[in-house]
Amino acid sequence: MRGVFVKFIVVFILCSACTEKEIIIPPFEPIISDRVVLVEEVTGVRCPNCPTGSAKIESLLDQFPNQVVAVGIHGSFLTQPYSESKFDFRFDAARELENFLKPWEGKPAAFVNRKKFENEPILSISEFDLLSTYVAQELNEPHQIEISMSIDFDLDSRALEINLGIIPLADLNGEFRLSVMLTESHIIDRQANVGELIEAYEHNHVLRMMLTEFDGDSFNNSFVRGDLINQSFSVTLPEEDGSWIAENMEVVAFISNHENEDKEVLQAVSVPVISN
Amino acid sequence: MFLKTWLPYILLCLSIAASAQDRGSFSGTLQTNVNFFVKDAAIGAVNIPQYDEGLTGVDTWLNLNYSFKGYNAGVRLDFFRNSNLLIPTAAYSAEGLGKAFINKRFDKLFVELGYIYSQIGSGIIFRSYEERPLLIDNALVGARASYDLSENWTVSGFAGKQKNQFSLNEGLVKGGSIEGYYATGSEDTPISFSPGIGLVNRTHSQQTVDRLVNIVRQYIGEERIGLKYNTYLASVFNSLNYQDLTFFVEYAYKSSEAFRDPTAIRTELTGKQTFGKFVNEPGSVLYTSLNFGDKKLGVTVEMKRTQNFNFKSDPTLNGVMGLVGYLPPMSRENTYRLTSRYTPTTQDLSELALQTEIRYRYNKKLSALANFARITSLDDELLYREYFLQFQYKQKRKWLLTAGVQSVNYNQEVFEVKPEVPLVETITPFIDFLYRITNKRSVRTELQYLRTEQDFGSWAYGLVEVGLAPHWLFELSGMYNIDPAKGGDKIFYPTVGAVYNYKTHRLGVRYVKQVEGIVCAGGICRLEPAFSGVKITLNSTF
Repeated sequence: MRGVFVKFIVVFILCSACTEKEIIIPPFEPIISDRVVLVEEVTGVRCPNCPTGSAKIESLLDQFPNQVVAVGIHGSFLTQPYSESKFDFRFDAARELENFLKPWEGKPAAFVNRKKFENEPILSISEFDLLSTYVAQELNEPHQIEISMSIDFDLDSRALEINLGIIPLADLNGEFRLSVMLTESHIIDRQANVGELIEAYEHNHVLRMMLTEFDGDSFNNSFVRGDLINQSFSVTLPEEDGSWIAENMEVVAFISNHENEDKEVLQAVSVPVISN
Repeated sequence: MFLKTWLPYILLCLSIAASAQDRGSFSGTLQTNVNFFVKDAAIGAVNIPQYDEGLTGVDTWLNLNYSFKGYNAGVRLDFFRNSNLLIPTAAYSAEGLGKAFINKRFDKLFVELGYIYSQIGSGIIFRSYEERPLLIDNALVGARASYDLSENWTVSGFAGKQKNQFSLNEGLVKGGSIEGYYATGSEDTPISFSPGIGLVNRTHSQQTVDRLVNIVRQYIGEERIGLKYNTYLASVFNSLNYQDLTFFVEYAYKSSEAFRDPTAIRTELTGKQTFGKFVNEPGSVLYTSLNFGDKKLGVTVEMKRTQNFNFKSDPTLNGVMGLVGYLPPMSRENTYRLTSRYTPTTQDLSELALQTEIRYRYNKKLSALANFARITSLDDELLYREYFLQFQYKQKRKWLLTAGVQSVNYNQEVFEVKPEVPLVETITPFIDFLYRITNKRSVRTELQYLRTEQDFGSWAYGLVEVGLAPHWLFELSGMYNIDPAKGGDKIFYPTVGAVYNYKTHRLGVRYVKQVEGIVCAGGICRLEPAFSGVKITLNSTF
């Protein structure tokens, strides 16, 4: 019987000694596309893993210049400011949007064009290193709608006027909604990180205001190729309090299709409130 | 939709039941948990879908088994609605076939098909098991066979894909073991050995490889790692028995594979450094235990060294999902509310653990137990230390007094990923008194006090349990944040409950307010949010 035991060991040694060819990892190649992809992240100041998630989103913006729009949503979970925090990024629409994007497994979680990808069990993506793969997939999809945006901002009154021009590039049917939001970057405040609290953390792409409903305003059920649609929005920005700094703010707009309980984003655009 | 999903299973069950009336034996179990969620912002029971929308959650397992002429077969139907078991902060709804199997022994050959629960050695390289409190069910869906080479030696093999609720994880897991028994020595002083060797191989699916490739291609320069389809594991183990002494040792090795290391530093494309990336390293575990026991004295010493042993059927799965092996926990499994408040989670990448337990019985009335556990990382960072001392005094069948004290150092920063929190240091005296008024009437009381200046601060806990055998058990308990840390509020967490037993059926109803904490089941732990609401549980065996 000891012979069988020894044979068993020998078989394993032979098996594990077999050399298996390593898998070839192809290099990343830029994609030429007119699509702009929306990447939303549910995050929070008390979420220790969120700085890593945000850093990966910055990498994504670097990897796909002018092809990705980022939004950081501070809804309910792990978002309560510390007593030492200067700002509170929470507001009703952010909470509602965070709920609307459920289910997600935990924070941080990201959404690429609010689309459920084939290999993901749910809408949210918790493996942030896969974001670039999904963004690339989306950039390779047909470009169906173009959105152009112009902004008029009065420095004295802080009145902001947003004009959108939406041009369908194909005949489309669905339940389309338009979302318009304000984001702010370079806000310095406290943030939890793995093993530490960062007092002067730079919060970027923070969702600060919705100019439409949190899940977008219904505005069309069919598009005809080439028919221009104009939409306008106006708002007065709150006074600066260390945040709400117009130079650091962007207007983000996107169109999503909510047909068949979907919420997929077709095209996004972002423009700074004050252009250089 | 409901009927469409369930009808085939129900028909199958009924046909089994019908045939069971004539021959063979039919048995089953039913477990149902119903949770009513009542929002309570003061204790943090908010911002979870069950409190905002679902309000009610249901988990049900119906297990049916049938045996006939050596054939054993069974099915389990699982049903979840707004369940908080899978992900404590999310609502999970699904239903379907949770388990189905058939097995038969043909003389020396045993064959099993379906959902297989098994393990090799102590489970380090392979263990398929179920832990309902954490909704872990990683049965291998496939086939298993074993053959008795002789009276003392058995060889077995298995292959399949790992279950992940109602789907299968992609990796193909195959393995086998040979285990035996050998005795020597004289008749008065026999020495026996139970040696074994186990092998496991996992082959990634193309889908998993594509996913890993897409992750790794984001890594720059030297951080990019090699990937392969196959990973091999082997373990060698032996149990030596000599008189009152048992010595078990197991060494497991895992060949190099890509796995996620949350502590590894990654350089992003922007140059910024972040935590967490896939690394390609071999892994190993050494586990050993020494037991001595006679009528008076019992001693157990356990040691475990773990390095890079995160092994999953799909390494891109999060948390406890996809674990193929099982690393034995190295701390005492405490049962009292406050002594179990700070329990360490097994660290699969870097852990060195030692545990000793001594039991001594002075006489029929008095016994004592002492336990010591120390867990560090391989870099000698203290993760957990526990001193536990308990005395028990039994006055015939009239009353039983248990009293003791526990001291714990708990690395909350590592176990709960809470930044810049200090090591939690606790001292917890406790007393448990059971008094039998009559053969059928009993009262049990518990008093515990956990003193700490960290985390939520100090707690007091009291419980009164009245047993009216054979049917009723009533419970009234409360946990009070008697000395909150960081200027927190003094909050009372009450529990009121009743349990009714009837033959093999048990129904429990409890109103519960429960503080956020670590919940462990079978050696695996996770952080769960606070709970507020009513819990109804039904357990039936038939």
